[in-house]
Amino acid sequence: MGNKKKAVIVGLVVLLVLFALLPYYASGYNVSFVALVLMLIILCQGWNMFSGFTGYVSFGHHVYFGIGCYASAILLTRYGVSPYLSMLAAVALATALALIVSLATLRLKGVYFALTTLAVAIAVHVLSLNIAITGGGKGISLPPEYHLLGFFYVMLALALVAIGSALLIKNSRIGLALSAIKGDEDLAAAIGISSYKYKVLTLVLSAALWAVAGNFYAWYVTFMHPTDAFQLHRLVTAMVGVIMGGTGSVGGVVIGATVFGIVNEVLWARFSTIYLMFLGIALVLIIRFAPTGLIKTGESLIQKVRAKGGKGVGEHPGSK
Amino acid sequence: MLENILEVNKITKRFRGLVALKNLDFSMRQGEIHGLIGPNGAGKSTLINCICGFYRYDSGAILFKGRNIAKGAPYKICGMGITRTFQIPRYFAHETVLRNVMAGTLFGRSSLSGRDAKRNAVELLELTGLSVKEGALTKELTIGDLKSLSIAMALATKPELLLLDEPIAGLNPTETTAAMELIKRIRNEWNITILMVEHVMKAIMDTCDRITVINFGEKICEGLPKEVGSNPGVIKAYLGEEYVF
Repeated sequence: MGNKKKAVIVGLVVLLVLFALLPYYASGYNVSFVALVLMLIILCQGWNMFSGFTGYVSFGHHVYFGIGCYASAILLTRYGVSPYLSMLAAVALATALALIVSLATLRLKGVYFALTTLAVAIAVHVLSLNIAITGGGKGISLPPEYHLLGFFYVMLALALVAIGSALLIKNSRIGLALSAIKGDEDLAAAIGISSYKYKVLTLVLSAALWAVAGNFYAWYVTFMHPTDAFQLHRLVTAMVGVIMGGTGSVGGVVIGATVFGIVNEVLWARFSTIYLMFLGIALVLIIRFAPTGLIKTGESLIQKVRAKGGKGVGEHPGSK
Repeated sequence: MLENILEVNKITKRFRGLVALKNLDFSMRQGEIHGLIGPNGAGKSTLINCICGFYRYDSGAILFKGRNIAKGAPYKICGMGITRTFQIPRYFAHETVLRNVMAGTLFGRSSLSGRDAKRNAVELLELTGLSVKEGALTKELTIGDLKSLSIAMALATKPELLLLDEPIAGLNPTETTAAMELIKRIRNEWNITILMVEHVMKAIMDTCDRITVINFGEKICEGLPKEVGSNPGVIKAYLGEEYVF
């Protein structure tokens, strides 16, 4: 077992070095593509951290991304603030909005919660179209500089932060509290868990991840417009990545986001007009045949195959 | 004389037109096992929900160790030392038995950390006879095991007052005996005061020190098991007129 663990760690380190050195051997297109997949991993981990862990499905997370976009777009164009500083403003704004949203919504359940979060996102989107500071429908042009390397390394670092914090949360007592809230919120309260506290905590963390990603995204694409900043499609993409990987599973979400990011790009490159249709079909198939996500479904398939081999590996540890 | 650990003073709880609890007075002495009985819909579970903060009552006051706990959210009430179980056992279905109990040891009044929480949870599983199922998922348990798990989870929070909503109903005779023994042990060894809502009369009569009977949200009698069992009003309201002890 010790050797297996060592092998995994060595593998991860090699992978990390390969990633870190990517700009030295890969084309600009590939670096940019990997950076965007890393961003998808960040968004997926962020959404999973709240919605996957607590079971409260947020349909409004794209609002935090948009706020992050405008934090850097406005601060950079008006005051020359670097995105490395404006990300603090992005986090502060996202935290403030998340706190307001949680006051208004976290006592709601199920579809009411989902719809209210969506309403907030739509409201902020419409607001951004109609106020001067965002440039309204005209958008904001950022300094036209190519920040591929900066964007890539920031996304790599942020992805590590997102995965690391998700693992920390999941394996701590907070992880058990969140699991309890997801399982049965009344029972959780009856045994002393303040569900509100832990929901707010993870909502703020996940909102901050989305905001920081948006902050650097605007800087990278050098033009920001409400339709891009508050794009619902971005949230749906993240949700699909999470569902593909397995809701609530940190490792699964990394793989789900990666697979989905790659499939998305390949389909888009070959069928740029109808690729969303293929994605829709893929999603339907996954929900129908692998509702627990690719990883768990794969695991149970392997278990079934092994059990047929008569090794009895499929036996549950609790049945002894 | 033992002091009252819990005092419910003139509680009224309405659900729209229905008055579920009507000016109900109810008290529990430190260290007793108190039975709460009454026909279906009498207000027993409503009372538990009011005490634990799940329902807001319309008037009256609830005092725990002399302190008013009216505005407490359920998790705060648990933190004060009152923990309840549910009539239909509730549990975290996608977690193991051990982690279900650990949720209690980590977050209840004891709020143990890491290793202590686990050790305490393992002890509680031993006490409730669930040790062998420690690693099993809760959805694999029988109803008897689930009731034991509920009690283990409640004890994990280190309560001073334990409210058991039908801990016996649905158990087979062997399990019933074991559950009754367990309830007595919880009181005798840890001095936890227990309120027990139950329909199984033999269990109530054998386990409880005192019994309160309510009907239509009002108290109709209170006393020793013997007194209550022979009270004509109780027999009429609850057990049926033809019921013979």
